[in-house]
Amino acid sequence: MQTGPDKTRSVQLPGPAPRGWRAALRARLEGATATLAIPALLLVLFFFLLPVALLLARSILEPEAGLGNYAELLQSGAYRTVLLNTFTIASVVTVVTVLIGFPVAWLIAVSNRFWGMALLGLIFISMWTSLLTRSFAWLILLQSNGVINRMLKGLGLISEPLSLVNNMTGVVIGMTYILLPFVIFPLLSTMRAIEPGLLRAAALCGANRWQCFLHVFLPACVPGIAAGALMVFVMSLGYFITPVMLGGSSTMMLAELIVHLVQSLLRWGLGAAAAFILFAITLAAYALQLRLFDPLRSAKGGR
Amino acid sequence: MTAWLSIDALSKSFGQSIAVRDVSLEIGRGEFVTFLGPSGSGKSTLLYMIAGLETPSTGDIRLAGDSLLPVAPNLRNIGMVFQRYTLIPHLTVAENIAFPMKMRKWDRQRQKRRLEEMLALVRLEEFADRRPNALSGGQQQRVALARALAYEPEMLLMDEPLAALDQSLKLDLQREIRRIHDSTGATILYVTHDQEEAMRLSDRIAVFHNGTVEQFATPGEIYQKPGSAFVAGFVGHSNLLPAEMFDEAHPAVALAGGDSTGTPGLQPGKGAALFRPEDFTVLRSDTGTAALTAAQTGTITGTITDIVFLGPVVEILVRLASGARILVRQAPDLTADLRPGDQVSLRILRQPWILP
Repeated sequence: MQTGPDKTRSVQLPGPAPRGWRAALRARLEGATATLAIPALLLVLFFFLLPVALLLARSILEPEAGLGNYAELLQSGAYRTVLLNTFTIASVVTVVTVLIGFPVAWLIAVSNRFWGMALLGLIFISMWTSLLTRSFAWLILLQSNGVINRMLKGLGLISEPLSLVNNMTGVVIGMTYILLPFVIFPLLSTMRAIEPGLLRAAALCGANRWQCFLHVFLPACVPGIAAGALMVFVMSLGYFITPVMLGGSSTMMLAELIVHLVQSLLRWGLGAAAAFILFAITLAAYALQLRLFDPLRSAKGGR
Repeated sequence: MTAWLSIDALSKSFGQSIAVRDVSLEIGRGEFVTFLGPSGSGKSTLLYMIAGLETPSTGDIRLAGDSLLPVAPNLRNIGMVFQRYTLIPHLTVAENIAFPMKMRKWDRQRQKRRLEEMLALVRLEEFADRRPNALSGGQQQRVALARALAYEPEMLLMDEPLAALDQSLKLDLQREIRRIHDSTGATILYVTHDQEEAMRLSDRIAVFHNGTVEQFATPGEIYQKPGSAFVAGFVGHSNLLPAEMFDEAHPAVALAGGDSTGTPGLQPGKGAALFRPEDFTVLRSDTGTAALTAAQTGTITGTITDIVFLGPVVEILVRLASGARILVRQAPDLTADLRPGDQVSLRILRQPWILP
């Protein structure tokens, strides 16, 4: 071959010749999408898949090979209570955050720019405050001679202080407050994406306000509710600081148990098994959501 | 035509700006009326006030004698089709069409019967179980139309329903809307900025400009006898020449700048003479003198500045001695030998409409 390979290619190129290096780069990139994903894949491999695999390995290898750790976790009454607590608290917190978050998101969505920004600002400021500080604040507010109990007593509504903290009530209140933004934000973006014309059209179809809400607005919010609820539920499952501070000995959650197993009892295998159970429940919740509200499928317009 | 829907001295202002000012219209039952005008002319605001989605600042809307203003939108018994995006996304086509009947708690048998009628009317039987986002834009608008008509409303309002569709689909749906109007006898109020669409569909057209109705008349009258320079300019192309008429004893029109012409049968007065592009025949000035003599009255002379071939017609731009420009449309075969720069005579085929 007398001519260089480059020259040959430029002669044989079908269609219009590429215009300069941009076109050349684009042509090269188009054939290389899989290659381009390699750095991201490596990142996921090293920082996610590998640790999870190690965790799984530990849970079935320590102290001896087998499923002994899992058997112990699921058979011991104390550990089962912890699992149940975790599940109950996460579920209650999810329901309460949705019940409170929905009207708040709605209020922000229908407010004018000023009030909408003001309300969002309040939520952001509380989010940016240290988690520890906020949990302590609730501890002070909720204790038996705290502001809330004294106020209720002063109003004559109660004679004895309510036990609002160091139990499940305290944990639910604290976690609801902290996790509220995670249901408000997805809901807000869903609500803002709803065409106002849709509600006007529904009204002209003869729907009154309640019917518009029930048949049009609420169903249109379902993806946002689902996204927010999943986020809160998954975060609740692994929550640590707030349950430790506002809960009592009877409300221990899984994350607290794992810390206890690893730090105090040095039972790494059992801790790993507990962590893996948490991971499995999270994945199951996510799979359930995908099955019910697959964003990709609904975007394609299928059923 | 007895008035069924009366719009009485209706105004709407948003803060300082006035969207609709003192509009009065009388619309008959079963009429197809189009509100035509450029964007911001108040036509949609008026429609929204009739629907109950906007509250008038002053004035009244009466249906069969009773004021509509105290009636909430969902109780007005009005169907409405918007420009786009108003089908309920999580409901199927059938559920969307049945939605207004369900809201009105019709019994199931009646709902089912009517749903089938409506699906047949808009020819979407095989799409009944699809979701709106699985349909094309044109199909979605047909569903919206069926939904708006399903509960047999007294009136159907349409706010630029075809504006987002492409041209061929638009023609199909215009035909469909016209057919549905004829077969249901519904009173339709239709908002558009597309004058051709207005012409094609309407019994009468209300031309909007700056929040007022400039003219409310049949498409023929709007085109041939526009009530103002705005209407003349908005509907079709208009060649307006300042004119002064002689009295009836001298039936001719003197166009300003020496482009004088004589046209028989004109009323005396002063104003602007409106010529439509198809009101002329173009003759080369060097054609036989016999032709020129015959056309002595009713000709204008000028120079061709541009020729554009459009297929069915050729547009010829002629500059008159006064500097005024006239756009003429001719059949292509009549203009084969014309070139820019040619001196031509424009023979006036119709007497011009003199704008008040």
